[in-house]
Amino acid sequence: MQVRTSKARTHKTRARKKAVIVEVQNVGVCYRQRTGVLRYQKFWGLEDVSFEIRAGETLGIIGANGAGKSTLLRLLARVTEPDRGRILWRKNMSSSLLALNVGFRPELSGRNNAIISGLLLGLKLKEITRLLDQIRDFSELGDFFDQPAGTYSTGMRARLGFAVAIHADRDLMLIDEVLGVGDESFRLKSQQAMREKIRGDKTVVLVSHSMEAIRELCDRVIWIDKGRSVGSGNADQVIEAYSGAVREAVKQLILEARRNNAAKGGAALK
Amino acid sequence: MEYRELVLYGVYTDLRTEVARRFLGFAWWILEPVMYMAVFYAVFGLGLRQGGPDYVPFLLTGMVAWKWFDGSVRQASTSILANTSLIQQIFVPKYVFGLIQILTNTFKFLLVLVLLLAFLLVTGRRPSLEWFGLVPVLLVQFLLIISLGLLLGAVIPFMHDLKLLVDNALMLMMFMSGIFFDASSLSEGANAIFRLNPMVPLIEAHRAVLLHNEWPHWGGLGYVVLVSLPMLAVAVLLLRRFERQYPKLIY
Repeated sequence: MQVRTSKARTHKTRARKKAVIVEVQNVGVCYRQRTGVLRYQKFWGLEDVSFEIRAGETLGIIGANGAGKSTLLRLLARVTEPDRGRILWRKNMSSSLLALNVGFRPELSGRNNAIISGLLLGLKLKEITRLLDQIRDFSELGDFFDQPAGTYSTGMRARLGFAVAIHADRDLMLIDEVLGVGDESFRLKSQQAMREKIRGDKTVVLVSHSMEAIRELCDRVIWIDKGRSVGSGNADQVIEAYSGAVREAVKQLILEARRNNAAKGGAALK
Repeated sequence: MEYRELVLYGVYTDLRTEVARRFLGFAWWILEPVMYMAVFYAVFGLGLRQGGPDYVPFLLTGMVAWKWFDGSVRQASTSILANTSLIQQIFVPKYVFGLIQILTNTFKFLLVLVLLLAFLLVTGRRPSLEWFGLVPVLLVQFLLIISLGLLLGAVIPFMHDLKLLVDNALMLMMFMSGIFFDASSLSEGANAIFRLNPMVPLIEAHRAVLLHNEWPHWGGLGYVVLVSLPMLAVAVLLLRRFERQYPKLIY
């Protein structure tokens, strides 16, 4: 199903003019599953997905659990490569997942952990040391910044991770459901920072189950179902089609459960 | 090298983490090898009554060289697996993890080596020009460690079973490296097979330099280089070819 209408074209004319920086063409990803001694089974986590990303836009990805959204993000982060189809990249493009606390060492200080994360995200040591004060201020850790990170609360840890990730500037930022970080005030602040990135000329791909977040932040939305891209276009319309499909699926489930119950009840009566 | 900073900072944080985690901190970098060697001295020196009066320096020299090899290869071989969650989120060239483990172990080895040299000086050995022969010996051993460590690290994610094999193969290799006995005491046929083990010429070279004030046997070192280079080539090829496949292999 394609949800591409004339409204989608007029809605975000700004995004349409921008150049395509990533082109995903009929991409599939195959995993190897162990099924026994010396036996493996192929399993396609993504079957056939196509779309493009344009400079400066925010692209939402929606779909049920297991549809292949995370697999797709890994491809875009260039952690893995497609097993079929191909992805065309603009030259010298950097992209990374907004991953919180990768390579985290609880024994070391927040400062050291910020440096590790920054290096892993592809920054140079010089750039990170220049950013450290900003990261410290943004994370609101204060004196805790030089304490072992193991003593942090979960929220503090997330704040540190988010502060580093948001300061590591990539051409393409990939975000997987991390908008709810820390307590209320920090959550607002992080959403604010995200929005600034999104409103600025950053290109962002956002995976979320929150339709409000997608509706609010995204210019365009891709809908993935069982490893295939089944819809793309303007946010409102794709979300509506998706919600309709979800409602329909839930209705079917309820009907089926009722039928099963009735059958069981009948058997018990006999 | 683009990822030099990441490797060096990784080594630094690995060492810092070890110190921070333990009550006695970096004292363990010395205590642990001393204890390890004391165990083998008790078994072979006191229990089995091996060797003569020179058995302690003989054993120590061999053990120090062996432990560097063993610890590095063992940790490098599981280095990609140990970073599963990281490599599934961020792209990092996979050799980085093996290299960090090897360099961390090398740093700790150098500390122990200084201690060994001090022990040899205190017990009456005198350094001579030949002690400079230690430099090529260490470089060749470092090449062997990198080659085998990266190779195993590249292969093990495909077959986790291999990890069990490696543990036992390393143990066999230890007893077959001439750490506890002199190779010249073997029969000729046994000696030929025994000499296939690249750690044999290396440990002999360590002893030649430090205990007998002789230059190392260059042919022996040449053999180690010849064994290492193909392994290194295969390791680099595998790591390059499967760079972006590893995140899918492990979960």
